[in-house]
Amino acid sequence: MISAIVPTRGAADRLERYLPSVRTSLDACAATSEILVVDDGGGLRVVPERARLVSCPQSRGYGPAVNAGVAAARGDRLLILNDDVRLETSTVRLLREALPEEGTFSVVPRVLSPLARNGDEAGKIGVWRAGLLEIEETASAPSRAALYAVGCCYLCHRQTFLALGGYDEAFAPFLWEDVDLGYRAWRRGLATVTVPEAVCHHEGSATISERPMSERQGAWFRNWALFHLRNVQDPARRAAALGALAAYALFDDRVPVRTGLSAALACFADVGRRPSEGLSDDAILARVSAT
Amino acid sequence: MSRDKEKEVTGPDLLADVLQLARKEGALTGKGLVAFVHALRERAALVIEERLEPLLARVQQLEEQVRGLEQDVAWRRETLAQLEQENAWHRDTVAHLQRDHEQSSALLTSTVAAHEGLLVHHRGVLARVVAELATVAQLPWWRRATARRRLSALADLLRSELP
Repeated sequence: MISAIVPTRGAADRLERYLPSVRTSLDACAATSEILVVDDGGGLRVVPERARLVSCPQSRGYGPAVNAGVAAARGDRLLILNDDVRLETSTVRLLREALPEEGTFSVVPRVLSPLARNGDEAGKIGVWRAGLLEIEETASAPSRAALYAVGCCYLCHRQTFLALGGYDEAFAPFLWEDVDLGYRAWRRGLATVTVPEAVCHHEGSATISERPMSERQGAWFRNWALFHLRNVQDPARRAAALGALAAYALFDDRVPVRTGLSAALACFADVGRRPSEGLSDDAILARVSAT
Repeated sequence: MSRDKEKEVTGPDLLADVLQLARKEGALTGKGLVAFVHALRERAALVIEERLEPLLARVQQLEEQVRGLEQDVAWRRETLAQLEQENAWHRDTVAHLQRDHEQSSALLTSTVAAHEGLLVHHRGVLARVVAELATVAQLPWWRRATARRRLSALADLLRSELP
């Protein structure tokens, strides 16, 4: 059974516009399915047709909303979606066929989106630059390993998602939680793979773009820094990341950068770093870039 | 993040907090220090470049504005010189016209004076002619020789007035 998880912040109009394509694609994949709409903040007045509502009265952002949806899901496979994606009829079937039973965390369709410079959000890779991991875009076709599954559309096993601990809610309300989850999966040798034959059309961060720019920039920088503090294990890479963060503390006086870095350090003091295990940081990037 | 914690790590203490964490993690000794300093230097270059980019763009914009203003000033200076030349020509013309006007005024005054003198003279001549003709008209017929002589003298007087 496939459980489609669609977090939303009361965007009934977007659900009305895009959910029919999700239903059609699920119906066409020859598996039982359900749709769970997670109402992040309790702003939704109408339950969409053929969907189960998971209500989160207090808005906590994308990661916690998806986690709540997964906790309520009955399916063994999870189709994680945004509320502003349109699927093609064959999308879910192709993703389902491409998801192996083991060794892979998630499969990602080609995500056609105005957000990506090359028009395709799916082929994300990472490079170390001046001490920090930076995300770069590559074409998702032909099929390749990606550093992480963009949160707007991917299929994974529910068991794997739960074994990884789901989205880390320290990254709430939004940004970098998907990189963090994909990186943790790679740490355990679980790949994220693109399936370019499957196509998803993404309107483009419709929920996040409703927030003020300064809030988005602050959240982005906070979670970029937090990602390194939580995840980077190699001592030299870790020292380099701290050196790079020191450069921001020394030379960047932009408010979102300073508040973001402050918030990351404070959050890290609470949540700490992850245990050293699995693939090294360089091995992860090598596996992603090898394709 | 609690308010106290946020306060703790913002402002000038931000660098101290990063360094404290780096020290705690052993990133400021041995190979870690090398990696720390190397990344700090490289990232600082990127940050400064990124921070300088808008400023350099602004400087370039200002330089272009200055070039435009300099061209404008040069054009204004040239125009001013032309206007000054034109002004001098106007001033000369006015002086000429003023002199012509003064000369014309003097001529008019003397002409009016001459005309008035001539008018007085002609009125005098006319009065003498009227008086003489009245006297000749009253002479008896036997004194016609006298009348003829006096008319002839009157004709001589009038002839002398002809141009």
